[in-house]
Amino acid sequence: MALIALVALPIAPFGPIYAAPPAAEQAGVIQTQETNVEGVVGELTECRRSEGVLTIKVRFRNNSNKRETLTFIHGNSDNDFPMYYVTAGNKKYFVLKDAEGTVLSINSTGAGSGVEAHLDPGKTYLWWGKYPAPPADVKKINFMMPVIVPFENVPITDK
Amino acid sequence: MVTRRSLNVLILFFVPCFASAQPKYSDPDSPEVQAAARAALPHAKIVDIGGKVVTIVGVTSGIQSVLQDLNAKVTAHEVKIDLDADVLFDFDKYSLRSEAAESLREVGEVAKSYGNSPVLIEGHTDGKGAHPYNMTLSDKRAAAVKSWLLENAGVSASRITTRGWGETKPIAPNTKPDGSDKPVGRQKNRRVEITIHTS
Repeated sequence: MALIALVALPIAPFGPIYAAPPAAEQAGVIQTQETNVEGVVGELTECRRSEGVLTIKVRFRNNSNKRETLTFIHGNSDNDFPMYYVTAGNKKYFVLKDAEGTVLSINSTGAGSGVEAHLDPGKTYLWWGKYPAPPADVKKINFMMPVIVPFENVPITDK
Repeated sequence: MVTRRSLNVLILFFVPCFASAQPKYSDPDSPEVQAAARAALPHAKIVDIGGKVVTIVGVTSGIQSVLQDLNAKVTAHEVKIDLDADVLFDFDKYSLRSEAAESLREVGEVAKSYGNSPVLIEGHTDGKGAHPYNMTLSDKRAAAVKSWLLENAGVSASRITTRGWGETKPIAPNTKPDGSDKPVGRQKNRRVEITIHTS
């Protein structure tokens, strides 16, 4: 059994990402929204501004009694990531990319490989992304992503 | 029987093999990721949405907002709408789900807005299953969409042609390079394409 687990875990980033165990020590939930998958909710747990970077974390939780799947990247992150954005005032902020064009967020490991989260009942999956932070006088943001109802008026924590 | 020693050898073999398969960034709280984010700031994409609001207000009235909802591709000669078959139909079925009505109602609105322009409805399946079965399934699914548009949206039968292509026209790989199943690709292939020829 130990061997099977060892081999299976590293393969996951090629395609599906398997859910982490429920995090009993999870940070406080700022806002919860529904997804289009019955029984699966998203909990925004962090909206932190630091050194000009805004970090957003959303923990997806399967409250249903059956296994559910969420697809975050369908194969090409360039197509999908423009749909994961922050708005504040009259600005729209897109996820940061490094010099090689890799998004500073959950990302796949190879061309054409998507990212899915397979959530067994009661399990969670953490989505995160790094964005350019709005100016210091902006205290709340809205966050949009395809799989879930928008998070609106989310307070920014400065650290 | 796997001995403890052979298990250790396998562990030493497999861990380096798969280490390179990790995503480039996996820990949002690591100093490396934060440093990469700071370094990316000069090239950050931030757009002003103030000006776009006017445009969005303009397209929310009339058929433009419906085209936008449907993610329709509009060219000088045609309007093309791709509908996810998983939304329209249950697995392996060709009777429409109740959830399909909203998208089909919008398709009907678009079709009617283009007068008597011909409408082509094409069904497609993924690569699983036998070819004859897939051809029949995609044909019946296209016909089901036609029937709905006739009965519920008032689109004239004489304008509509249907065709089933089975698995013969994939838009994404059904399998990964190693031959294993690729559900994401198969999902993209399960679709109904609706083309309104406008000129």
